[in-house]
Amino acid sequence: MEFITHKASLFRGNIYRSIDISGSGMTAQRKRMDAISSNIANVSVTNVDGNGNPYLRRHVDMKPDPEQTFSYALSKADMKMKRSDRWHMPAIEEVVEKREEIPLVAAEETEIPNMKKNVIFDPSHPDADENGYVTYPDVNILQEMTDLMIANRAFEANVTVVNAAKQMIMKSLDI
Amino acid sequence: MLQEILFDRKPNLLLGKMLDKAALAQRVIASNVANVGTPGYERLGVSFDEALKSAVRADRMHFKRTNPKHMPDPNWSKNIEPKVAKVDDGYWNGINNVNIDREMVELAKNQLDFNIASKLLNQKYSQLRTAIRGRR
Repeated sequence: MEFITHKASLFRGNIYRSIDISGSGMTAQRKRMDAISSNIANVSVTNVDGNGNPYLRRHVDMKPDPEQTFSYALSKADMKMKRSDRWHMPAIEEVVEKREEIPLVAAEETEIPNMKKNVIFDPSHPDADENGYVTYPDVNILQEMTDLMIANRAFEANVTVVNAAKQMIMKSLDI
Repeated sequence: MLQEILFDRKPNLLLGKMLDKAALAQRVIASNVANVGTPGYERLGVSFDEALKSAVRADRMHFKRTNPKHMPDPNWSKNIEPKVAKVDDGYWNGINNVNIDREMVELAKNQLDFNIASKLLNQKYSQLRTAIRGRR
């Protein structure tokens, strides 16, 4: 009896961690796809806000999910004492370091300011400035296409990891 | 001793609850996926692990049944019920807060939960069957 209740509490322990991590990766790649499709769709939008400002290219930043390392951050913020002398005890930070979990991934969409001015002389365009130049978004279609392929492959890789983790758990049931 | 083995229903009951939870979670995930484009829909989730954990912990703290003639606790499994609640993880898909990748991942995990529980229950019963019939 004791054995089986122990097993039941193992169910949600750590065996699904890799599946959760890959799920967060899939969400992140989906966000990236959204940004890329927005960039491609808005490639010739010259007036976003009525003041003649062109569309700004969207980029998705990936970073370890801060929520998952919250306990780590909290325990670190909790320890207010600085090690200002080498005779002070050094062990605390090492212990804290070990408590860090393998993080999920978080994706955040940011607008990239125009790096170079992409201007075309077209005085008949309604968004042309006083000299007759129209500013187009700084979007490189080739770059977007390669980013698209990377996002696509990364998504597939995450799906492969989920399937592998699933198969591993199923195989362990065959023992 | 025999009574204890044959009629102590705790492990079977736990695994049964696990199967119940898997069946419920399947319906909840189906609802989330079906409503992925419904404006105003709020994502649902199933919470079960906490109830299970606290029930197992409470069981350990109570008086032990050291003799089969002791009365079993009739309320033991009362609190192990999966609960459906609105769970928001901060994701926004443009219409509501259903994250289709997360739902697919939850589906995979739920299938594994079901497989594990049904496998263990199956083993339990086949042991019992072996004990009754004997090996032939």
